[in-house]
Amino acid sequence: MYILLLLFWIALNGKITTEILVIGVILSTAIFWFMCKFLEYSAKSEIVFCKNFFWGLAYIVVLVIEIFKSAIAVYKRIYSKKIEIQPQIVFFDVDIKNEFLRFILANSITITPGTITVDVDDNHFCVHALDYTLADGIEDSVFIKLLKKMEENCNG
Amino acid sequence: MTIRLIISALFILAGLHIIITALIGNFRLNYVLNRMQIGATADTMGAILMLIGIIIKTGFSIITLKLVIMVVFFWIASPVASHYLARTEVIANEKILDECEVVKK
Repeated sequence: MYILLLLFWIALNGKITTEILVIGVILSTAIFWFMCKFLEYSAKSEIVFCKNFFWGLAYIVVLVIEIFKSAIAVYKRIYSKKIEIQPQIVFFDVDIKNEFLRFILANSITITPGTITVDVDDNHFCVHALDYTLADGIEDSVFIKLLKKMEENCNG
Repeated sequence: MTIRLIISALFILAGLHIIITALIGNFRLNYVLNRMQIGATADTMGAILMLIGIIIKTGFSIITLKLVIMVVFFWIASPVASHYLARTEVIANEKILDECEVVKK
């Protein structure tokens, strides 16, 4: 995470000189200290972050593929001659205990065209879908499988 | 150079097309939540396609990294906004059952 902060600073500056690097190190340290003090971040979560880095990249790839797939599905529905949709609100449970991973799941459900997370209460999700086919099998989708693997990584 | 220009133009046009599609969809559908779904599509798909077009046009440099950061922040912020709108609508609308069926799994 520390390295990511530093890379972000360098990307914003656009070039690497000694001055920029020194200021970047100071600023990243300050932000890292802030995160440890107020956002319940610690050296332990740094290790977890490193462990899950490649899983995270795989997750992003899967997310982009899913977005494209469902975007095409929504696109077809808009241009069909007569719009025949059956909107649906689905309640389902997910057994993911980590709060951050649940936040990621809710965000990726919302970002996928055709589904919006309406409410999250502990592990009860409430999702609105544009059509009932889009909500099919949402309670055991690819996202949840990947996130469960990540959670195992966090604990073990 | 010309090929790169054509490819980037194709991407930008595709992004514009998605946004126009979302506009048409907004008029063809007739309920808030359904309209919002289309709006979210415009946000995610249209923005990413247009930014891919711009990335190809400018070539791979430090600007590419900045554009990627832009996409990342966009994708984090946009779902939160639509989630809150949807939640407000579901809480405030008393006749929600007329518009959509409710399923428990």
